[in-house]
Amino acid sequence: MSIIYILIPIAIVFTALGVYLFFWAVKTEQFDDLEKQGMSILFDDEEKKKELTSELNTSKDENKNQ
Amino acid sequence: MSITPRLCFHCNEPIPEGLDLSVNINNTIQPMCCIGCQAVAQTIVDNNLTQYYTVRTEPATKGAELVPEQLQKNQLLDEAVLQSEFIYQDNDFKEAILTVEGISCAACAWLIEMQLGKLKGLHSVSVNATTQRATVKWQDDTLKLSDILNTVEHIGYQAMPFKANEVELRNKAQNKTFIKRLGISGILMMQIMMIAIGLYFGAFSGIGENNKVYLRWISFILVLPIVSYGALPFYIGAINALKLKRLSMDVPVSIAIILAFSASAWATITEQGEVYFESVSMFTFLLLIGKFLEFRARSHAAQVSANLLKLMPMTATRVVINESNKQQTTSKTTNASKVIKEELVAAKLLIVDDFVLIKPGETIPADGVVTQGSSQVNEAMLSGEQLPVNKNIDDTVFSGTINGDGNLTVKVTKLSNQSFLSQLIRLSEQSQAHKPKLAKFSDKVAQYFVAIILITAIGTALYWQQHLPEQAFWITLSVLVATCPCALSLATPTALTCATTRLNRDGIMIKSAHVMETMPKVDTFAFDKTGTITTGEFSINNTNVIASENLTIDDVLALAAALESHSEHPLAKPFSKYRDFTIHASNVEVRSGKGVSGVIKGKIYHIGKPSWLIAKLTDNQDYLSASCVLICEQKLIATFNLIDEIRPDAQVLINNLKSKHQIIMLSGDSQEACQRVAESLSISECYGNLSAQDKMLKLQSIQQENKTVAMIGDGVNDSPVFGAAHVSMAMGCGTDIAKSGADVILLNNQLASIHVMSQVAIKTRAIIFQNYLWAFGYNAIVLPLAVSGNITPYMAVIGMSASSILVITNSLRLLKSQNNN
Repeated sequence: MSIIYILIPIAIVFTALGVYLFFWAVKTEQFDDLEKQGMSILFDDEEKKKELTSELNTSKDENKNQ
Repeated sequence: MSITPRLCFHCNEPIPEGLDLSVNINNTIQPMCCIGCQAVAQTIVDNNLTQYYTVRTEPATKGAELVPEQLQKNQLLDEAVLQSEFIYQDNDFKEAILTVEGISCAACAWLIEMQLGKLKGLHSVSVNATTQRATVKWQDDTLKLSDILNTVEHIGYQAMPFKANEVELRNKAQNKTFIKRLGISGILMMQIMMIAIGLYFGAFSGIGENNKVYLRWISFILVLPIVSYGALPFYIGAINALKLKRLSMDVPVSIAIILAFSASAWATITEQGEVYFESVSMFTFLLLIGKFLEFRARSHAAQVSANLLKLMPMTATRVVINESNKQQTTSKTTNASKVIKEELVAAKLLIVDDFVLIKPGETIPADGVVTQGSSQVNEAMLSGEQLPVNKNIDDTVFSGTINGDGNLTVKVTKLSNQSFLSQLIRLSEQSQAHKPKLAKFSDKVAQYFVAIILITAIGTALYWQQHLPEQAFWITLSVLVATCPCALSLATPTALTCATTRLNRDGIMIKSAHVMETMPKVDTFAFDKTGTITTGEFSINNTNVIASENLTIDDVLALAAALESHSEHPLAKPFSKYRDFTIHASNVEVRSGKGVSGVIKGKIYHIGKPSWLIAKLTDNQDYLSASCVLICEQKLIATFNLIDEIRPDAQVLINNLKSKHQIIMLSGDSQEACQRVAESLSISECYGNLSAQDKMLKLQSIQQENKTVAMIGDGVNDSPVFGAAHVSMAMGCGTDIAKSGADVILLNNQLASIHVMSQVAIKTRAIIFQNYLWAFGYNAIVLPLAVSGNITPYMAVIGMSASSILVITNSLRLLKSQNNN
């Protein structure tokens, strides 16, 4: 049973790391809006869209001028 | 059944007949219901953001047509004087929080972020879909705040700068520390429970003394952050209560945590007795969850209601007049040729003797005297009077009221902080400070509870001291642990949280904590009339077609609507829903306070006051009593009867409440108008002609008779009386000042909500009572076991968590909405 003298301190180190990461997440406001973060996966990345939009840029510029 | 009407692809509302608008979205032609929606959808398509339509879970709000004046007003926000109120300057960057109206799902947040992200000079944008707010940071020399607001408006949302008030900033910080405390308690509790299982097995099948001491020391270290950091709010609450010489639930909770922890620590150090670390950590964690959920439900309601208070500065069109002509202006002979220019300024910056121009439909920016023009002004929010008041030269107008259909030039007579409006606000703040409060039930329970456990603990200690001195301390400790008021402290907060969440879902925002407890005690409901019992608008009660030209009621209404669409008068509004877009009026002439004339299909039509129109006809005097008449080529073709529209659910609500409650009506409108509404709803007590102060005094005199009164209102003139009432409720469509002072906001504008709330409050009280009964019952069962020295640590943990789960499950029953009552 002497293995617990090593394993439990290791577990405590992991727990401390977990607590640290949790505090970091709270500090960076990741718990502020749970709805949006869950939805973000449904949207395409921006890079991909830029390629698609390149042809339509002319019409967009017209819009901006208005 | 007729065919289902076509629905707008953008906002999902039915499309009016005869309208053909569409937008090509993802290669499909989609129908649109109005120019507003079409413009918004087109912007979304042009910016390649059509993904929004595939991902959204809710339809968008109806797109409003962009008004150039509105966009111009946004530019005022670029002025440094006004910006100082809500902007954080950070070197070259400015940061502001905007409330965004119209966010219905997370896809909206994405849409706004993408669209704003394209602006040059924007540093960062983050939209929170839950709170409906956006935080934007931009470079001031390349981008203006008005551009950001206008961009948001182009995709169909209304953005306004917002400043979180003190309470909210504190809530936000508190929310973060709460999550931290909860996280740390949760994570460490799991570790401690794991070790505790080892110790339980040891207790049954034997464990080496070394291992046992080691496991206890580990638990001791792990529990330290929980009792020192996690449980801090309970200690603070307890100290605050004791300072006020009161006992709150936090007191027995703190006693239990501190005593159980110290005794277990003593047991660990001296290597004897029992340890209760797992009980302490679980107890703290469960209570923190209860406290956190209650806090979050309330702060969410506060946040949503704060969003309703917009920081849009009231604007005014100031008329700047040439110096040499000033003499003449004061003698009220202002001539249009002498006006040099009109400038848009913030109402706050107006000073006495400034001249302001007020266009139809605008809000009057300051108290003043009319120097030119005449109009009808809607003063309902200040006085409760339904019909617009005629204002001519030399009449006084008040800040915050809405101009009707004429242009007015007003000379400012009072600074904005001395206006009638700000006096009312001060009055309501004063009455808020003296709000009557009823004692909290949980605090009363806490008093008895502390007394019982302390007496039992002392009794147990004394008894065992005589019989088994070496075990006396440990048995007394087990009494304290077993009677930990875990379920007891969860009884109220969990029930309140579930009730608040359930009501939020129905659009009933509970802002104050005491509401759910006070509601069942309310025996008198006081209602405002205009805007509360009535919608504040007119509806067509009766349409009478006279001439025999084969016209149906629908034809007549469509003709009237085509004419009335050119008028701003409140009596013209109810016609708009009958509008047929295939009929158009030309040569339209609007006469202020009289009516409208125009040409439709080659015939001259007049609509308006009977006294204006029927005078021209000779033989139709019988119809003078109608509110509005329609004339075609000098021939009367229809009369309309308009009434102050009573909310459709008012009757049902009054009937529901009448059996057990006293119902009164307090209104600023004329006694006659109040009587009419009161009679149709069979409300026995009704008081008219009351000023804001009179309302408050009337309510206080009712309270003198030992009544618990709830007040329901919407106008600025209701805010002082809100402070005096035990519970105050504001309609969601009411004025900002009323909403910020109220305990409850009925976002859905339905009076029936009051009955729902009353029902839920009564049910909540029953659930709280059951919870207490169970919690006391549990304690009554374990107390003899503990006193007799038969409780072990694992039994204490199982009993405590089981009873807490039972209480929580019972409270969760409140979340179910009942459709059958």
